[in-house]
Amino acid sequence: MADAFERMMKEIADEADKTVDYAAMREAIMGKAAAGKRRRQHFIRYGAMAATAVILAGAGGLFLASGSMKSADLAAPESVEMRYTESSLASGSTAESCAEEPAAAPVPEADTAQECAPMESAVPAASSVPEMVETEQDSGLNGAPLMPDGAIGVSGTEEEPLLFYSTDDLVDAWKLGVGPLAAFDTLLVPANWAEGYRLMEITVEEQGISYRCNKAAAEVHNDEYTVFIPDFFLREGAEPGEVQVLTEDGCSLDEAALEALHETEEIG
Amino acid sequence: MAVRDLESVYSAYSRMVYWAAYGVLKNEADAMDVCQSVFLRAMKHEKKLQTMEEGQLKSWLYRVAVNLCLDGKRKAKHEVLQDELPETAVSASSELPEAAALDAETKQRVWDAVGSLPDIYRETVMLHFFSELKYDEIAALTGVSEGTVKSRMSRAKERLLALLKGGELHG
Repeated sequence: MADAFERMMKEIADEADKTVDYAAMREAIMGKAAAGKRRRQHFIRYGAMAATAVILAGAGGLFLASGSMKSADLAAPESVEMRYTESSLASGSTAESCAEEPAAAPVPEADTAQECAPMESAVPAASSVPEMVETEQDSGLNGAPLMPDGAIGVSGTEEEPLLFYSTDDLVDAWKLGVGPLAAFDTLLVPANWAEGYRLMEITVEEQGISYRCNKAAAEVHNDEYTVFIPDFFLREGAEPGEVQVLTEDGCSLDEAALEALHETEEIG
Repeated sequence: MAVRDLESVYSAYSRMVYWAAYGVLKNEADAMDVCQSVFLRAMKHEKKLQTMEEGQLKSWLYRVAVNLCLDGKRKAKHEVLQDELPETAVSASSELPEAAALDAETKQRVWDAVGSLPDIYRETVMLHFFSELKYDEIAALTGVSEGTVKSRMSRAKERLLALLKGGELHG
């Protein structure tokens, strides 16, 4: 009886398998792969142009802003370079005196520049330059950050700059027992997206970790997404870097599809 | 280290991936979507695939397929199991002497019976008969012992035979 059963099942399976059009499926895969490649090329090409424009605009804005700051008031919030100088140099330095200048004591522009310039030049280039580069590069469309491929941005508050976590970082943190690298009221932004998503829920499930998020402008858009990192990618030897964004209706979108959606403005 | 191209990977494992997905989703169109997604990912990780042993590759494909299926199911508001069974190619079966014994009605009953099995039994049946995996391979993919796979298969057969009780083929 067992043999008859085996034969019957085998026969039914083979017969059913003959109805599956693997050739058509293969063609569809190749077509999708080619389309994804084209999309990525377009995204990189036009994204780079847009990023360049934003960087130039940002640099111009910073230039103008720094000019007005100097002429208006020295008591403006201390810069990163100032804080670095304060902490790394001995007390009584010129920079310290600059930083501690009373708010109500405006200093002529020329004097300020002359006093502070030597100290700024004393700051190691390797420490100060990256800060500026990061600030400029992080500016994206709509004032939101532009992130490298495969990165997820997480921020404590909207006012604070976004921190960038690659999916590899998320996975590594998980392996080290740190747990999900995000908290409520944070913003979570899929790579190359110029829009923020508010993190609503973190779920550690048997199959992986889900970061459920909503658009930052929740009153306008009620779209909810879940960035899901399957447990397979959390295990040793697995390939991280694949983050899925799942819509509430169960439709699974990868980053290429998200980019395509973004381009066609179906979302946002 | 085996050097393989995606064409050969697809030829070797498309059946396994498709039926693994079908076993979870019980829907032809969804299974095809998942199957396509799996091989798109395989293309994305082509270099990594080159370094994998055969067993690792099989496991990778299976895990990705099942994860995609489960992700989709988890997020679905309400699961609709339509039991869309593939059209059985009756004309093709007539070429096989043994196949002539199975009429369309019997096949449909078997399909219905397989579809009504609990998930773990259906998974085992699909992987063994449809994906053409051996018991030890199923054990490696599903993370259980070979004995457990055999036990599940045995229970699945019992259930199927009970469901098909009275059929001419099982006496």
